[in-house]
Amino acid sequence: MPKKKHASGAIELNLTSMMDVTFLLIIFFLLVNRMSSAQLPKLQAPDPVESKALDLPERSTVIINVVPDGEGAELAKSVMVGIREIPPNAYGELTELLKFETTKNPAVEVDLRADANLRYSEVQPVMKAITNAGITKVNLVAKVKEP
Amino acid sequence: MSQQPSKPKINPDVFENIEATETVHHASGGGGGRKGGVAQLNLTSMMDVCFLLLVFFILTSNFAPSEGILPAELPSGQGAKASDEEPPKEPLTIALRNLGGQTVNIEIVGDTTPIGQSFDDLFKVLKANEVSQGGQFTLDNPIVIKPDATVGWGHVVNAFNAAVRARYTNVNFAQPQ
Repeated sequence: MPKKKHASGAIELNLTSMMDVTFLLIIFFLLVNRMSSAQLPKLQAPDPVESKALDLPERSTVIINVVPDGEGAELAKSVMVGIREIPPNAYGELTELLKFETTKNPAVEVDLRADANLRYSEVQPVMKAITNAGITKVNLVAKVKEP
Repeated sequence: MSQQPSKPKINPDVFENIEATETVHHASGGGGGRKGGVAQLNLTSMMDVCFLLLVFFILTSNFAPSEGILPAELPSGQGAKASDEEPPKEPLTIALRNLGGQTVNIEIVGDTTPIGQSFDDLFKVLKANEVSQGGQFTLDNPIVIKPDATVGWGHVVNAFNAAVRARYTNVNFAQPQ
């Protein structure tokens, strides 16, 4: 093979391997990353011992978020369903909303997502509002067991 | 006498008419002889975009444990599920009492076996009480979780999870005390 003659000082860089690694990394992070839903307010979900929580994707759900009044607070600030915010002790509105949702889609599931530090007395009225809407099957949101 | 190769004749007329601003182009030695030149690809922009994408995905990736669901059934308060022929089953009640801080005391009402504060121990006791393990409760026996009003929701879900782990299918929640 005849040698190529280069002008003095010019370095040729073979970028093939670097492109391979770069694309591998992009694909890795694309697959590992999951676009989180914008409708979930930030709260600390319960983390049970040997969690039996199931990570079921692609469900038609109404997520009821019981948001604490500050990080680690025991009292609830409000209940959020989507962008709608319902103040505490006014859960009749929640019952009406759930009745409307189940009429619109009878197969819809209801997820109860409450902060782990909230008192049971703050969450139980929400559960009562759910049963008042005629819904008995509820999914409790908890962290999935790490493999 | 050997003949020397003749030198190309320079036509002085051609150079006479060249203005001062004109340039004379000469055919290059390297490119002139090649047929169908190789196209060169500038990868700079592509590398920019690739690294931008990579940095975006690195910054937005989240390795926190994801959230799942525990299917539960809330009491409708409209009558027992059991038929009229079968006698209602005695529920197994799990009482949770707040001890202050993040600790909670767990006990099964009517059972003298102390459980303490570990939900793993609660699971073991529930499992031992099951009929196939020599206990007296079937898997469809109602279980009621009865927490104090100030017990944290995380502990309540933990107790529920222990019952689900022990494969009980009829787990309910009581009114707060």
